[in-house]
Amino acid sequence: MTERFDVVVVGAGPAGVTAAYVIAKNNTNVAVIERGEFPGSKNVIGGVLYVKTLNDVLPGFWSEAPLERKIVQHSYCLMGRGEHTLVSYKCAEQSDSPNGYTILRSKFDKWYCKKAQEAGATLITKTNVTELLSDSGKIVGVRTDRGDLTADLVVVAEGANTMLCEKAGLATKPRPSQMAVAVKEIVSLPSDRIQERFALEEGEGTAIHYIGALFEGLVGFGFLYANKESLSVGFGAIISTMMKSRTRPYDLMEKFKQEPSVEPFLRDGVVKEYQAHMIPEAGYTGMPGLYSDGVLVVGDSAMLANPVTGEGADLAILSGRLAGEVAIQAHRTRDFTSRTLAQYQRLLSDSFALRDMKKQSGLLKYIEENPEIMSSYSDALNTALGNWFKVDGSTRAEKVRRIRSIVTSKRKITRMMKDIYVFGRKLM
Amino acid sequence: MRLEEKLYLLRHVVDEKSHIKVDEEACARCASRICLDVCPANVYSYVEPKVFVAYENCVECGTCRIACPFIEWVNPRGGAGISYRYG
Repeated sequence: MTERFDVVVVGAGPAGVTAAYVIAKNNTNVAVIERGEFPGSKNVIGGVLYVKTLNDVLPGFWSEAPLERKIVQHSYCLMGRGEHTLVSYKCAEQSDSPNGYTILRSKFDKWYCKKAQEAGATLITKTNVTELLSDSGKIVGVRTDRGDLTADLVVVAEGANTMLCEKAGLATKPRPSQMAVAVKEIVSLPSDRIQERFALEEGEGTAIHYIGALFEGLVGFGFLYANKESLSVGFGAIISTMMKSRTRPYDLMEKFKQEPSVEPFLRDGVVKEYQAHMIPEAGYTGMPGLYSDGVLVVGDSAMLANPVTGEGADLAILSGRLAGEVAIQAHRTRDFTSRTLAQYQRLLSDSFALRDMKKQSGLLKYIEENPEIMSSYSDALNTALGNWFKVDGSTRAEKVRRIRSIVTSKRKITRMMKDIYVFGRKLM
Repeated sequence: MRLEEKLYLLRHVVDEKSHIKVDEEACARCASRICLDVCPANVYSYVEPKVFVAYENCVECGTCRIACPFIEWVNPRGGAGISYRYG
């Protein structure tokens, strides 16, 4: 059995659904194929969806989407050894222009895909795409475990496991240094206790990122996000560093949950779900071919994730929108060759997201080559503040001298200068 | 909380066929057996002289495929495998 569509999208995550929505809105015949039981059933998010790019697609979507809490507070927690420093920013006055919301994917993705279906897209679930069909170098459809589908254009949104892209020669299998593994738990707690614990009002949420001693030897960080009636808690780390230190993800998860900066937040909570997923971290230089004759690559498959900001889902949506717009243009001109599709890469490269990723390239490698960065600064800061606050009979001047020698023992001044230079150049 | 208890919370639609294949010869010679450590769901275990694959516990992150060149990992059949309730 062979069915025909103008466009076939592989994967009903945020990238694929956005492309399908944009294409369907233009009265073009589009199908989205999802291997899970329903859109979202295979998907995991760290926690926060930044609204900017989805608002460009569905203005004011937050008034109807199934969201958890509006993020009004962002914090960094620098973990020491039995001590920690929390740096918090809070702004409660942003009801008109929210920045981000925590979401749970099984609810959110289902809702979002419904939007694309209402716009005219056909959703095909429980169907696994096993390869892209090609005819003299051009992609002409997909082979699934339930039959073939042909199309003028295939949008690949297969996620972090890029077997289709690899088979089609668009990508090579990522190296362990180019991917992170993230593990997360949903810990349920009554909403009023969440609000009390984090000093939040109803509907307000918080996001905490943890770096420091626990992740020594790894390139990774922990996170804690507040949902309506649960907390999302976990960590992500570059796979090569997990391999080198032979860290078992679930062991590190348990250690993280026992940290004095984490455990009090989780107390009395009940674990509802344990999840694991990969995050593409190859950055700008490790991105696969984003287009070829008859095919566009979006979202995680295109390695669109920013470890510095924790963005992923919003970049997927951005890429899906741009791919959708280029697909419409290709459909209008009846030209599905690279000549038209190359426009997608140009648009993406000009976007804020890619310009950031381009600038940051090499930063993770620098951290991987200098893994002590992950803990030496938080150790130094915690020891310094511990000394500063302690009343022990020494004068301030003596303390400052002691702190200076502690800090420079953790990291030499010349190394610090280099770190500041590298981070400054990559991030600013 | 033990990993087994966490895995017990998960909903899987079990396929009768494994979506994971290991290269038995390579496994027998393998010095690192990194699969035993990197998998977040402890799918792999080693009982002399073989690596055993509990594919029905797989959460489909794909980490093993990245960490080991001898693991042949594909998506489970459409509709099968992990089905998250929260995500």
